Amino acid sequence: MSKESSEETTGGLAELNDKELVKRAQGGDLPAYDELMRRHQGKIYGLIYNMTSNQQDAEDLVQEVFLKGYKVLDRFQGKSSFYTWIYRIAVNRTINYVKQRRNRSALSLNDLDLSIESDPAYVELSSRDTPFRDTSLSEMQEKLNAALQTLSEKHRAVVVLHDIQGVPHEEIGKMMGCSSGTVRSRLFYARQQLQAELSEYTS
Amino acid sequence: MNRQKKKLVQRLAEYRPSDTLPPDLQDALQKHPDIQAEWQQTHRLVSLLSLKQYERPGPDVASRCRSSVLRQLRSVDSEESYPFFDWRWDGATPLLRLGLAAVFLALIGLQFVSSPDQGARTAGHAELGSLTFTPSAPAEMRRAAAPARSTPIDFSAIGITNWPAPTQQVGVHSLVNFGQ
Repeated sequence: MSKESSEETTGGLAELNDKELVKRAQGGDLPAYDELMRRHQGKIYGLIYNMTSNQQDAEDLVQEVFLKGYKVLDRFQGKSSFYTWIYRIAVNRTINYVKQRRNRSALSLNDLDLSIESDPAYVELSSRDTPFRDTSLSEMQEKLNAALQTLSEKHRAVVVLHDIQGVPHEEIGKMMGCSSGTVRSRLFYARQQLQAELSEYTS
Repeated sequence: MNRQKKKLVQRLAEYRPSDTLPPDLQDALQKHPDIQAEWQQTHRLVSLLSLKQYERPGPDVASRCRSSVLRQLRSVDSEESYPFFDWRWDGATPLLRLGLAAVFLALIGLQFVSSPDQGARTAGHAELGSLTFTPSAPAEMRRAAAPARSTPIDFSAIGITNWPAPTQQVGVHSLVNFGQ
């Protein structure tokens, strides 16, 4: 089966759902796992990058997460979606990593896509009479990332997952191994702290 | 903050700024302008955070990550040993462990009760003069042959002259007996 599927075109694998791809990957089918990576890599990268604010760390951790995912794939029983399962690995690995490197955090940011200037949120924020209007894009980006880094790992994870990636509370609870009430409470306090840090842009 | 306000704030936390609030929440907000102001601030904060989506990795990052993972997984696959050598004690079922322990103990037990000609048998064959006895030779002949290998070493040949003389020439004695 493994040989047959490895000969399959990427187009064929793209038609399969995550569950079928996981089944194949559990049988040692690397192209199936590659397809899973292709589907979820972007979001996982975004989560790790926004947690670390460091592009090199994000790249390394994405690789670690998918390597670990493949090694423990036989333990995946399908009780949750593959997406939730791999996210859980990513969240835990990133929280541990951020805790370890706490004293040597350096920002190394990705480039900003210039289409940001036509985003309604950006247009609205820059139309108000706040320092935001006079701030350069790179300065704004740096302030935003620095503010995120002031949060604790768990609070930062909740903000990134909910406010940046749009993951629902219940799903975040599953990923972080806590109740959705805890997620809401963390989100509330994290937002309060961020508002204090970024008050010049938000008030 | 009183209970009603706290509940309102908690409910609001479930929504993203882009969401349309349900009518009852909108009414509640109008009754509490301070919370409404807070919600608007939250709205702006989340709008600001949403701009982080425009921080995008370079075009080759995704393919670089994937190909690196695949390369590492392929090298792990090719280095994979046969399952026999991969066997781990902690991976075995209790019954299998018990069975293996029993076999091991039985082998040790057999070692203790093995016959005196075990040495000759395991050595493959014993030599006596120009005669060679294989393990298939009669046990009596092999028993006679085994001591012949214990012929004393001539230490004078390697320069040791004050070595005490052996009291019994077992090898020669056996040779004589065999000749009879």
